Amino acid sequence: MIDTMHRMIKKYLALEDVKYAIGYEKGSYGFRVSPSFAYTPEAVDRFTFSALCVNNLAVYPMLEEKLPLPRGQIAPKLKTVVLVKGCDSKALVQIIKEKGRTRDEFVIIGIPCKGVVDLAKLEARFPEVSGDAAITDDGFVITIDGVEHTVPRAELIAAKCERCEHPNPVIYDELLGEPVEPGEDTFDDVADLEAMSMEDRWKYWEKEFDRCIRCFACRNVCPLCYCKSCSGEELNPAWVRRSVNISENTAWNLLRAYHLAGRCIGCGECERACPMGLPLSLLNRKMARDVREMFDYTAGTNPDDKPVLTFYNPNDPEGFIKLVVI
Amino acid sequence: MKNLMEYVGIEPERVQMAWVSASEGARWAKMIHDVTDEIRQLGPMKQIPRREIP
Repeated sequence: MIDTMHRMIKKYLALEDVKYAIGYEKGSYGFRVSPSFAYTPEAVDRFTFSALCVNNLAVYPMLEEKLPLPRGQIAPKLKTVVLVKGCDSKALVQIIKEKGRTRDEFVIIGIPCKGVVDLAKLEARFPEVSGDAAITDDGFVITIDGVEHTVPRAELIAAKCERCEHPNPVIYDELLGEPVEPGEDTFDDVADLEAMSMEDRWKYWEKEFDRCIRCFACRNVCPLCYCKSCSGEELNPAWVRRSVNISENTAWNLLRAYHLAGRCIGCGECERACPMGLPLSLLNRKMARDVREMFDYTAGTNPDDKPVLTFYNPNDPEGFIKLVVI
Repeated sequence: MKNLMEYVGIEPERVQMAWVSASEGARWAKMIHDVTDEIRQLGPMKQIPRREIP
């Protein structure tokens, strides 16, 4: 499969209107896999794909620097080849739908994904070694120094993959491999938290938000957080102050969850990137579930519909509007 | 927003929304009175106490 992938990407890179390709390459230590950017066909040989490729590459086209041009000059429209798993393709769908980028700026190579490992779990199990991991039908096959260890799927799989509803890319130009049977998301974790009392819920979140150091890693790694100026950093007016305390941390985390309502595609990158291990998915998934219940909409799953919060439907729920009778 | 606040354990009544036209002065006054009464009953936010400035 890797060879097919190399050939495919090289074919596209050879085209004149393709600027570069984004993929994965072996990281510098442990099991880590890092994003890789190939401008030449030779660089494509570094590309790899395995169950270790957790990163959502859809974020990189959004982070790309736009250099200033002389007046009157227009930047040539060049394409980017992106390697996407199911969840990453949802991010691209959502970005394109919001007109953050256009579809013709991408060459999308989709990979149906059986799931990726949770790196924290993997490194806890095999500390201080480096190796490779692959996923097969009976679980993960971890290769360390040529020795293969088979670990049951449930022990290492990332939580987001366990409940993945879209393992197959939603949009793609080329598909690598066979489609995978999708799972079902029941939002049990959100329901569990909702079942707690109001005081307990606040106790839970107070403990979590208190740990936040506001490094903005969650924002930077998020493919949908691509605003040019972020209200988390704006100083005039300062919606969120810079001080790291429970009040500002709560404001920041709620602000982010709210801005991602109906947009978060659930790739779980914020939670993975968080150095303090905040359960950020729980916040975003709460919004995703409410949007699904209220508007029957799931972000990033249909390239043809409109973003849910940008258009009005007479049947939209209006329970939040207070009726004032005099 | 209300759902999210309830989810993290903050009283959702602290955020309210209503439609009031510019010509509906009485309705606007009533709305503001209602909200202030409700918030007064809730009292200051216990979750995030105001920091004492030394």
